[in-house]
Amino acid sequence: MSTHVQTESCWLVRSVAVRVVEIAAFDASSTAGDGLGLPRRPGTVTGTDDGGSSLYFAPGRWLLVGPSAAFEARIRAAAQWGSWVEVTGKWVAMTLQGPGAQRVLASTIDVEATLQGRECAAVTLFDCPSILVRDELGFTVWVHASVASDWVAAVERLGAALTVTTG
Amino acid sequence: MTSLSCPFCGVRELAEFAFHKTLPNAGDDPLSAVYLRINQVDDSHEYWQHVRGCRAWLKARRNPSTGEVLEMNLLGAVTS
Amino acid sequence: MKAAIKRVGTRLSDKTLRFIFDGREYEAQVGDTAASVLMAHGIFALGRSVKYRRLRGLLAVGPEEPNALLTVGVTPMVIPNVSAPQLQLREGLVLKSQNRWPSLRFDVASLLQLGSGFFGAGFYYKTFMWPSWRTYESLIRRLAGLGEAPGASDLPVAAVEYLSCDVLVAGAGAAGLSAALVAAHTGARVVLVEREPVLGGELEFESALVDGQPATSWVTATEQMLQTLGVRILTDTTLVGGTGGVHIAHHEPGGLAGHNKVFHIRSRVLVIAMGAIERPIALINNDLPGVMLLGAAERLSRRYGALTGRRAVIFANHQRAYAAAARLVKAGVSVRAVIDTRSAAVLEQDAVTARHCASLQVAGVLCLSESAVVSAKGWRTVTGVDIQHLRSGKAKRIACDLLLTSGGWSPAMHAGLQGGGTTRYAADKATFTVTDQPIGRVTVGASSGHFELAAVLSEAASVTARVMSELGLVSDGAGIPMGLGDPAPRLAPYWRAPCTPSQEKRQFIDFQNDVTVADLRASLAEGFRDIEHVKRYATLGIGTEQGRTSTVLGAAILAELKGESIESVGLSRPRPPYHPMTMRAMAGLRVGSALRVAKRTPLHDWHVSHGGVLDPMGLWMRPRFYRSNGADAAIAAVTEARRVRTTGGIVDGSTLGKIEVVGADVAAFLDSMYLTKASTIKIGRSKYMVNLREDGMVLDDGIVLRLAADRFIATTSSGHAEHMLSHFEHYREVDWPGRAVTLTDITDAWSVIAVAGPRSRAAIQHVLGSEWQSRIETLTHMDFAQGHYAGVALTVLRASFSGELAYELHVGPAAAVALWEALVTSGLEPYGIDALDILRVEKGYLVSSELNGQTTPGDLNMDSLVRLGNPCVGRALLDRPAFHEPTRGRLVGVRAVDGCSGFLAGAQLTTLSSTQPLGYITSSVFSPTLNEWIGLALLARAQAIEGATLIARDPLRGQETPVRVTSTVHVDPTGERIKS
Repeated sequence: MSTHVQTESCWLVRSVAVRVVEIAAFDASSTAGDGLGLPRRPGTVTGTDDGGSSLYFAPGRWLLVGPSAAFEARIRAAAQWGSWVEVTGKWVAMTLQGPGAQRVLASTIDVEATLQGRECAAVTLFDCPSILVRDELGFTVWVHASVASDWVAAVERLGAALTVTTG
Repeated sequence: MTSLSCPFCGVRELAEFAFHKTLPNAGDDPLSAVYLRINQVDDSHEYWQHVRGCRAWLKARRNPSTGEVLEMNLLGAVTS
Repeated sequence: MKAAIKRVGTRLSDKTLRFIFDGREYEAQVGDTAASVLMAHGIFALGRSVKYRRLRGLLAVGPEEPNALLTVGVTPMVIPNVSAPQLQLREGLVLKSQNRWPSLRFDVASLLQLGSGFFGAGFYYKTFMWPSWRTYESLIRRLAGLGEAPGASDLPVAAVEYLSCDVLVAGAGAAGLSAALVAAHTGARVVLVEREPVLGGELEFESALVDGQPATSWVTATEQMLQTLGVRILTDTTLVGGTGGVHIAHHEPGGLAGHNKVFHIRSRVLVIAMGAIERPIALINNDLPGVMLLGAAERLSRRYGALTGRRAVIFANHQRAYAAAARLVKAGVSVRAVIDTRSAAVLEQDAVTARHCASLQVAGVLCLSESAVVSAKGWRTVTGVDIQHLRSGKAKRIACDLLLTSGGWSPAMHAGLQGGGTTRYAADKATFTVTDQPIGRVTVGASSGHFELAAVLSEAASVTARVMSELGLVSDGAGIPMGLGDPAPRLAPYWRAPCTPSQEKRQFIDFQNDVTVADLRASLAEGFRDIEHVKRYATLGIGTEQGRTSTVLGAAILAELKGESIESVGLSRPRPPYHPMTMRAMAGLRVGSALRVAKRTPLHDWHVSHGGVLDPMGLWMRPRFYRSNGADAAIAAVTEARRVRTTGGIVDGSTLGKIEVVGADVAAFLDSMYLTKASTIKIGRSKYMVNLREDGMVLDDGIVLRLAADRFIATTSSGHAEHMLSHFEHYREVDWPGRAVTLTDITDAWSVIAVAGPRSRAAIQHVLGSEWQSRIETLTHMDFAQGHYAGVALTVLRASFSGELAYELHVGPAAAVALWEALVTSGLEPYGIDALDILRVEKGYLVSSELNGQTTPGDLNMDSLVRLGNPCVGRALLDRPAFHEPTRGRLVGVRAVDGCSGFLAGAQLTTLSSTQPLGYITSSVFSPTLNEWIGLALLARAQAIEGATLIARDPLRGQETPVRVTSTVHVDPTGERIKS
């Protein structure tokens, strides 16, 4: 059961090419979600135009990954719904792919229980604050940038037993 | 008690949660509000935070002698 | 090397391997355990006991083995206390017996028992009293403890897996398999753990039929069926404990720690089907090597052919002994006698027993009823037994080299009971069973006191079906397996053979801890009467043993001595882990550098490659100093600090906590969070602000920037960012629900480079280029400007933590290294945290040494801020009288009276004539600007007068330095540099 952990994408996230906007609604967010076209069920992920996505990872808080200029403008203008905060650089994305990907994560959390009925979850992985996303290819993990290298080291330590490759 | 159920995230390991304190007693003066706590063996009203998860602040009713959680709600107005 | 004749056993292959035990090489067959092969070689003594150093052999074959614990490996890479019957041998394994010096055969400490007789309970505490326990402690500690602790920590890290399921079945014997079948047929997610490498449990031994086929074939078919149904089967895996629906199972193939894995299994239902543990009968010298449990002999014989040719006497109080005897005879063991404590009348009632007796007698086996083995004879191993008729007292001696005892079985349910529940004595079964099960937990089979195959199979199936239906899961067709096995045990409780009072000290109950009947009697005589007190005073069932073989026997004998019922004595509670685990396995992945996370800034790699000496400060890795400025930390820091004041320097401040606070209500919200008002800050300006805890103590300080009417950035101390975020979030939810306050941690989204020194402005203007030129020119102290550097967002804040003209550059991490290198190229050299500390103490700025959670604004000379009267969190409690006592500390500066002596933080301040502390030094540095030692101190208000002379006493380092009280601002008190 091998797993490949892709860590290079962190540099994409840090660059200006990918914009990550975290917006947080302040009121009963079911209406906020409607108003902005954001996912409303906890733990859901919706695609936005231009291949960006919106992660509903905490009550009234969404992480918008790579939103289009038009979508971002709409968000920025929607002051009546909530507040946007620029967080480019805060999160680093890792992708875990391969048949052993779930086993790697099971070393630190109960993956099935955590993601039961949801596509994303705010969770602590290997002691690092993370947002875990499951997609068709495997998993994407958003980790706080300051602990990203520790996260990779933790996964690499599992290497021998779980045949993890990184790069 | 090895886990708690966050109203937003579902059941998670206890280690993801931080206990803050039991709710203050209904004392009027500031000293009582800070220092006097309700301390009931079977019905404790408590603040918790899902600090290693979604960061939601939680208001819990718990039976500390059994660990049974009687109620668990998001503290703020935001609901999913 | 000792070679052996080939043995035949269900676990053995023909291949051989070699291993070393106590320095000698032996040959084993693949599949052998350390216990089986040593027994086959005729080596009965496998270790010495911990207290009396008596030679000990194998008692049980399973993890409950109390005696035969071995140390595996070579110093310092050793794993102590590995159970020999669990230890699967591998080529070249090095094993050592334990608790002996210099050798197993001859142990110096064992002479103690010859000299002084046996030490009873409490012996050490009562004997080694003069002049004090400490005189003897180190000697006794050397003798104490089980085995040798590892000296190295590079064992492989245990793997960890978290998983969840609907039903966890612990144990894959008849009961566990039956339960798993029912559970799996409901469609539930089932996990089955089994401590042995193969499934089947006792079915291996019983001459049993299940559903008309031999039990072993049924086990194979059932295993295939379970796999088809998607059951996850974990062999070599033992349930060791767990609470609240999370169960810890430990996978330890071959019983060898170091190749293990820890499972955290969350399940809705736990089915405990862990069988039962056979218990010994107490008799004189029952700890001699060669005395073992009947079931252990059966395992050794069937699995490993290890007892062929041995002469055995069986001593039991139940029916099963005869079937076992017959199987042993068939396996080539020379069974000399079966000694049964039950009366002839009882035996005759049972046709099966009578038939067994007859056929055994034909085979030359002596069958004695109403008799007991009272004593095992022999020096190093058993050479014979003394038998006594219980009514007539008639004695008889039989020569043998094995005494196999069986006093019944105790359900092994304690691993599952760690989460709560109690036990009750069931007199009809002469055993304790579990009562008041919590929801979602059941015990089945022998674990619930059923010992007949038919009953075990049907009870396990029906109990599991019931608990599944409570979950709404109904089986779609698993029938109840029909079993036909050994007859009912028809056990008559029997605990210890007759002996004189002086012989009670040789009737052992707990072998691992050398607890005898005499120890229980002593414990009672000295007032330790409750079973939990007896456990601790007499050490009954402590250590890795945890009462598995001893606790029921101990309770029964205690009941006899107290003249009470076993029911009223009860069982002591065993502790997790119910089966031994290494500390390393418990630590899981959190070992070495993984013990805690290390946060790194985007400039981390630059610091490392440019001579930065990085240390963890809180969770952050930060450069203390750079080697180019001196190999010695103190010299380098002074060099770096001096350079900042003369020309300038840059420091990595990315660790600074940053919280973006956004929304229509945030100005009012921040007003309530800080001692002074945020709402008065103009857009584009910033302000130094202080937070209080609700009890009035200072919590943190930082600069708050106002970006827009509804947008602020609150900075926090590096170590405080996460706590401050929680603090703000809490008050938002409690006091400001539903209001427009958004709090976002942006610490990692912004790198911070602090540029300080007279040349800082020119350097920044040069690096940032013409578009920033005039904007920087017009920035006054606490102003900021926003823009871009190399296309990445940049905020330039004019603020200082050094007292120099200084700027903080908040830049997106993508451009952090480029900006840092450009500043270095422009001639500003980096400085570390040690230099930063010098600069801030010179200015009297605060860090956690002063903001230590015990200081009020008044203590820190912030009275003027308090007088502004902003009603913030914590404000109301500042008026407490105790906060204004003359003895309460206030922050002052201190310098040595002679202008050259040093003093360190922690030194106590006293008057010249007294040693009564009036305060203490919180921070101290050597100031390159003043060329002398300076410090900050918290000093009683009554004494906090500039010019007063005190003594800084540092008894730990033997220093006494006369110091003068000064202003907290040692350098540039008028602040000319900062405004330049």
